[in-house]
Amino acid sequence: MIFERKGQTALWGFLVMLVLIAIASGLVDIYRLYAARNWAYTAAQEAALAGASRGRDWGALMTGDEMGLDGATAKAEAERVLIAEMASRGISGYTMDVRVLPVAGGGSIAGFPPRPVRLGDSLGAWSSNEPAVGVYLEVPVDWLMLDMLNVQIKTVHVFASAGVAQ
Amino acid sequence: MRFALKIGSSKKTSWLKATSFLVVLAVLLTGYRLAFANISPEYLRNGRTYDQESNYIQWNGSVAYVNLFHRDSTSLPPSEGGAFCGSGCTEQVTRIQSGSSISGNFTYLRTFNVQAAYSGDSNVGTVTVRACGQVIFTDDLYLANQSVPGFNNLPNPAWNVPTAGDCTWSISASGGYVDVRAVTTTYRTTPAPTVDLRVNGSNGPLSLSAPASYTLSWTSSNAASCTASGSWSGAQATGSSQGINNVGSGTYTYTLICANPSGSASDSVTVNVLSAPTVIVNAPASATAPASYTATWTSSNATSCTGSSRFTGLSGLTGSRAETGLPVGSYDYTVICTNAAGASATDTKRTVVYAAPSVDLKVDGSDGPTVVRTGPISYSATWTSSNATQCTGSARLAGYSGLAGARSEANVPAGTTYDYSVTCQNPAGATASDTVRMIVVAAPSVDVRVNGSNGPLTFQEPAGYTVSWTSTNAVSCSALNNLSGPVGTSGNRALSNVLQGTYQYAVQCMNLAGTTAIDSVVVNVNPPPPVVDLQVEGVNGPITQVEPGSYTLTWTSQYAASCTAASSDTLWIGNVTVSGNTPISGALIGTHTYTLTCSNVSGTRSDTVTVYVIAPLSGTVSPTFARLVLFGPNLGLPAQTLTGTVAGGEPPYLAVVSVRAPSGAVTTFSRSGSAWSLSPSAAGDINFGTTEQGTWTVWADLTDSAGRAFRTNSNTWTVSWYSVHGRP
Repeated sequence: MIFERKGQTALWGFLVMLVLIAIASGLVDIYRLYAARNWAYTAAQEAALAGASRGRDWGALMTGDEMGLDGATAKAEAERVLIAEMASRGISGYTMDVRVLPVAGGGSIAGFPPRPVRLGDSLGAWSSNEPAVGVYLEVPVDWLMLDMLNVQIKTVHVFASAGVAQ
Repeated sequence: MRFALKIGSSKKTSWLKATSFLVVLAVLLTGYRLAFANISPEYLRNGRTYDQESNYIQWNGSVAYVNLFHRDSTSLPPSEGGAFCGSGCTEQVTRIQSGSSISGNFTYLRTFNVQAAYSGDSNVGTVTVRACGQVIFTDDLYLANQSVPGFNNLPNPAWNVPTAGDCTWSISASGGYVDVRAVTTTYRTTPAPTVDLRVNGSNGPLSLSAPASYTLSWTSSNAASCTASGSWSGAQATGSSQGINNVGSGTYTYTLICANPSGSASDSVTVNVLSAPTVIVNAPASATAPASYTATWTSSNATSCTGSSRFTGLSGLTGSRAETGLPVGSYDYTVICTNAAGASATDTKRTVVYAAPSVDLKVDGSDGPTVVRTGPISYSATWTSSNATQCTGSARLAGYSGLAGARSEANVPAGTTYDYSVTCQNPAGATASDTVRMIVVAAPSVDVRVNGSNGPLTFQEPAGYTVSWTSTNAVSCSALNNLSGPVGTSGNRALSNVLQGTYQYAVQCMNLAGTTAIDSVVVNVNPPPPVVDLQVEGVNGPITQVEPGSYTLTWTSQYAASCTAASSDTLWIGNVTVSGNTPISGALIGTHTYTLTCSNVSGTRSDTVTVYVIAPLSGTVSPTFARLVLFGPNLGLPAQTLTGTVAGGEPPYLAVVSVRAPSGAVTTFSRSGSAWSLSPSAAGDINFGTTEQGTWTVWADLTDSAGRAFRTNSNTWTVSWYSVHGRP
């Protein structure tokens, strides 16, 4: 689950008033936000799995290295899947950021994903103990009530990753 | 003259005349005084004219004693047995030839007659007996019928002497001879005389020192006359004194006999005129140490003697002290002797004991006694002495003297013999001599040959040859070096089976002078070429050992003089003993060649052993892929291919490859060669090594041709599926 959190006191005060004013429309926006997030996450997950699966570096394994990822392949395959999904949904204006931890021991990438999302037990710095592909996707969402409130910018941010078991 | 002397001796009547007469003729007639004394008895007594009264009878003219057999009433005197002559006796009688007579004097007689023989011998004459100035008897003694002479007392009875004073008497023959046997007297009666003789008023004995002077004095009573005897003589007054001077030493007994016809009395006094005591010590003036001699002393006229100095403690009129082994020094011997008169005498002798002389004569530095030198030679004969006062040379040193000296001899040829002698004497006369004889002989020579050669010679073991030698001017030869035993001045010795070595056969010959000549021949007996046997671990090799090689080299050799070791690994190099062993350790991998080279004069021989030191059997086995994908070939991925290597040991190798699946199942595969591989096709499984996930393990058991075994380390590979999964 990805929750959007905007902590500004003024906004929360405004929202309280909005909640009071537009409880019904709010419930709709929440649903729509939840659905968008799930879809975006699924797409990111698929992209990550595709990248990890197709990015396994068999050649390196045959040469004796531990199983790792061919970073370029893994990233390309993940992006290809995302682009295909976005295209199938007609979504544009999305932002994706695919990162690969190619070595067998994984690693960590500070500042990734660019927005804080829940990443397992930690937030803000993606890390893995195995080769993995991380996909950050930022997808715009249409709001019902927030549109009426003239809130223009509405996106969901998801992050998914897949690894190769050793 | 003798008759006149007799007349003069009559004391009673002619004393003064006789004295005057004697004074006049004293010097010329001294000898006759003795005769006078013999024929001038003062008183005629009974007795035969032949012996008992002969001293009182003076012969005048032709008178002699004759043996006459007579038969009458006489008897022989007790000294002749006292036989009665009634049956005849033979005895000496006095025969007075015609015209001759015998005579004498007498005094204090009461009666007087003589015994004359009547005889039938027609030569007998008439006897006439006179006394006191008258003829008292005369008769022709011839009796025609008297066959045997017979003596009768004539006159018979005896003629009575008319006076007590002195009278003369005589018996004369005329017209023939007259034999007279005895005179017969009887004396008048008177008291016996007494006499007292003293010296210096003492009855003595008296001891005086010579020259002594003393006075004899005497008195007598009833003495008709006194006669001195003993140490004095002559008729003496019946009472008087007489000084005696300058009497020499001796014991003088003065006896004075005073007599009258009734008897006589005598007195004697003894004067011991003692000579001054003398003592003579006899000891040698000089002697030579260690001196042994006897020092003695003798004394005379001494009653005691006492020794001092070296005689201390000794006494006696004579004595001695035996000295033994006296050292050098002066020794005094003194004796003091004293006689009974208190006079003493002393004598001292000193014996100087000198050290024994010695002389040391050296000829050419030798004491001899015989010095033998080899000539020609120049040398010196020198001598030195000690404790000597003079030395005299003799023989070759004749004319040489002095306590020390020398004579030089130059170029004395062989065959010369010189004697040198020196005698030295010390003050005691002891001599010491030394004599040395120099004999100059010719130098010796010797020639030693082996098989007639002077060598050096070389033979091969076992060798046989003959050593011979000859010499000149030698008296003895001795074998040296390898020639042993007694040898003569020439000879030979056959030797056989002589083993290797260098032999020097030398003979040294010596002449009498001790000069030696030596000759030798060197023979080299060489051994056969050496025989060498080098073994490693008891075999001749080659042997193979696994690194690090450890083995023992053992070698023996015969006839080798020296051996040298060489090796390809430098573990055994240098000179070694001709036989021995040495351990080799730590030999590295490789071929090790050890060579022993032994040499002697006959050649060089070598032996070599080889040791192969190999690496220990080892090997590897490794999978081509450390990681594989489960059933990877189905994905186009490779299956496992195993490869291995074998090293060390001794090929060919056999490898038994064991592959253990993760499930534990072990599959083995045989491979060979030093490099092998086990591919899926070789293993008969295209999925070889990928059929199970997990860790596969592989190892190989290697065996070389020598049976050595080695298990390689195991290697693993991992087979996984490598699934992809989403991460939270």
